[in-house]
Amino acid sequence: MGETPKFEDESTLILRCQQQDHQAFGQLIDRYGRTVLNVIARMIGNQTDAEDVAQEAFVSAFKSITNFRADSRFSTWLHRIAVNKAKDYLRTQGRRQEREIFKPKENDGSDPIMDLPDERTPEHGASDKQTAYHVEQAIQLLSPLYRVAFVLKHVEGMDYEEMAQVLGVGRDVLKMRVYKARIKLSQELEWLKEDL
Amino acid sequence: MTSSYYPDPPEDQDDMDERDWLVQRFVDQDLAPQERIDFLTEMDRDPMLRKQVLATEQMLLHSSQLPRMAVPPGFKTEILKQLDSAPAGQKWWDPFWSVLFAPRVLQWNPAMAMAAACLLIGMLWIVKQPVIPSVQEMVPISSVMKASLPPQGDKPVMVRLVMLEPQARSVAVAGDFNGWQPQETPLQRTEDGAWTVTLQVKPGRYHYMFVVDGQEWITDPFAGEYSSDGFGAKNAVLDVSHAL
Repeated sequence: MGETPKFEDESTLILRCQQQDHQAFGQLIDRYGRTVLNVIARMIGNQTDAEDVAQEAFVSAFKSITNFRADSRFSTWLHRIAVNKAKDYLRTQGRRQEREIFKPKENDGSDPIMDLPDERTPEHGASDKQTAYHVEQAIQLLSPLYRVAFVLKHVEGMDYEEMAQVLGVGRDVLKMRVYKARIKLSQELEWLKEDL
Repeated sequence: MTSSYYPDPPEDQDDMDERDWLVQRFVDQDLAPQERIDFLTEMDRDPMLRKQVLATEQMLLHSSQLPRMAVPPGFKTEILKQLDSAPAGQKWWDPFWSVLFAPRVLQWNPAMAMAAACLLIGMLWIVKQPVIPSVQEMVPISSVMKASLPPQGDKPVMVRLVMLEPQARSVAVAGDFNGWQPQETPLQRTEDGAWTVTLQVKPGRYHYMFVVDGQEWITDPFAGEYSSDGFGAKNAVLDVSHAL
């Protein structure tokens, strides 16, 4: 009797947030925190900074939630804010620092998303963990333009329509970016063919 | 802002060979029925093509199964703490705004009315006095920007940015001159729907973008110069020394 339902309807939560209800916003953070954090982490390639940027994105979303209109999905709107915050971060950090953070196959303690696992052995080939590590590294080598398109499509599983709304870029352009990202990744991960 | 490991190619398929193009469309299930049959027949005949498709599919499978970061403890608490310390939507000028615009009941009497009339007449007299022209004359850079007289050495100059966005609820500018923090530099709306701001900057080159309604990043359509922002959009470039 009188117990709060476990999953409150999203539109109700948004309405409550628009009336400055922090508790309702907390529930939206619970729902989307992990996705937002992971998109940002893969865009900027650094876990610690990703936490700060993701928090900034949520604060920004709450402050402008009165601008949210129901003509798009809340998750799409939130992702758009997150992607813009990640872009801001990359702009202010500059590409030089980005290169240092993402330098491939060099465990410099700069807090990358994944640690380097044990080297693959000829007898056993690459373990799943090793393969994941190299895929992650190869994604980080993509230019930001291709990286964000690839991550949204194949890591986060978005369709092209939603990506177009998040990135504000046409569907066909995004397809082309995803195609080219896949080709570059296949070239980087050429050795995957050896196991086939 | 433009460098990266791979240069950004033009957004077309010119640099993709036909086989790559077909493989990508096959993976996206974008081939027409007959194209698909032809492709599968070719794949059956060509082991290299088969390997290429399989490697691509394998790479995509690994990508979709990449480990996901867990939300760290205290993540939500920290966000809610920030919301508590800076109430949402409240700007520093809001208390003054509410004092100015809160409705009030005004009590008056004939003496107060006469005093108010005298004050009004005095103000009208002041307004009618000739205006001394501004010392800092504005000179045009482009159709939308104006700046003060040409820069001398490193002395800051005044630059005005203008954005025509009558439907917008807010417009701000983010650029090299304010650390890409749009909240630092809001534009003011004029009666005709234009948004303007006057900046004081040292001579140099500055990249910038407008931010409409707090979310949408828009390139200044009237900038004299542009550069890629590395994400497929263009930054406007303000070259103060050159433009003057």
